[in-house]
Amino acid sequence: MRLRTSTYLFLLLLSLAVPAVAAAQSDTTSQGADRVRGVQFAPRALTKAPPVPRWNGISVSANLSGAFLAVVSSYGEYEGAVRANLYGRYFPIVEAGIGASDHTDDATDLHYHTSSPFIRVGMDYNFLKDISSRNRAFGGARIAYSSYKYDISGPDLYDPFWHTEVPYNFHGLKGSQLWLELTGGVETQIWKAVHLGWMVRYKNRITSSNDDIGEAWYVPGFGKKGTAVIGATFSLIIDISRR
Amino acid sequence: MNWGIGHSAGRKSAAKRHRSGAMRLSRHINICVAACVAVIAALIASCSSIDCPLKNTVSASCLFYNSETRAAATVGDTLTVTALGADSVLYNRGVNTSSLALPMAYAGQADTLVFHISSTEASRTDTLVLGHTNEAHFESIDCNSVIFHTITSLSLLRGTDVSGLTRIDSVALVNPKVNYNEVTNINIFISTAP
Repeated sequence: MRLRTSTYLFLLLLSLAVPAVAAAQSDTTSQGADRVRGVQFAPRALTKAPPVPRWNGISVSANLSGAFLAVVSSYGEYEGAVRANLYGRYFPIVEAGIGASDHTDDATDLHYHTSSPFIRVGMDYNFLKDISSRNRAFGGARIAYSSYKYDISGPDLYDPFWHTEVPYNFHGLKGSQLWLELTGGVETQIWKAVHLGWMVRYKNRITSSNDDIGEAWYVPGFGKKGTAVIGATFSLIIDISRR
Repeated sequence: MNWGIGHSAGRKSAAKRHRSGAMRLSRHINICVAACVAVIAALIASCSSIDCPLKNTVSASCLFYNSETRAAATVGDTLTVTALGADSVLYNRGVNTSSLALPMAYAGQADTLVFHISSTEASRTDTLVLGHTNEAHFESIDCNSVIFHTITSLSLLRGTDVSGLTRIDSVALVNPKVNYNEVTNINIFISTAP
């Protein structure tokens, strides 16, 4: 009788011990990861990043430097942009705004005024290897167009030989320009969806038409007159991406 | 699943604090870099230069040619050019003159230019009537405003010949556009009166 009781007691303890040992082994396994030293390698199939969806988000931005220059200098742009994120790699973008100038030269007393729209359409390419990063390095291109009106006025022209004066006031002059931009820049996350980015732009005029009096001094979105100019923009970007 | 270097619980929290500090530092660096770039971008965007043409006067360019040989010539006598309606002398007492740069009126459709050719003994006048249109030109707000011209007609009223004195035989319009371009506008053919 005592033997049978001992046998039952042994089996009971054994039955209790098995789950306890199993649980202990399980704990050991779960804590074991913390105790492991060295580098573990996962199978390639498990470490492979999931495919990036084609539609990866959208962002809107405002050109801070253009607005700043429009306020404090002789010309600038009030400009916004909408940009899509495709595969984290391609970023088609539409930029539009108003180029403004209302400036009088101190030396010549000539006054130039314009406030006209412009639009740019193009695409940026993210060169960074880690496309899930919120920091990006871009290269891209734009095709841009502006149809503008401008006013030029100044003191009457005095003829030193015939001693006559000719008025020099011209309003509602019309012009248009098509140009190409090659861009390069970076963008970084500041806080959550808030990003800051800057971009250097090489702008090359393709075609332009102006009033007979002469070329516009400032072309909205392009800059001061010329066939090629280099500019830069600094933008505040609200980036709403999936990743 | 943690595929990397394992950590104990204590090290985990330390690493978390470290990562948090590193992220804050990284964010501060990002903001500083962004601010610096903003300043640089503003400086680049605000760079300016003055692009006024070096030749910033507008005048009709005239060259003298020998009317017989059609070769370049000089007016050996003293030449003075005045304009009717203007009290200024456009060209004053030049000798051995081979070219002229004559200013044109900002207003009006024709300039009447009087060529006074004189020697120590005698003088004569030839009159050139130069019809033109006037177009205001804008180069830049940094540059002075000017009037360009287009010559529409030339007519010569020859004076009385004086023996041995240079005379203007004819004129020819070469280029009607009078602007900043350094081109010859009028050829003046001269000879010596017998």
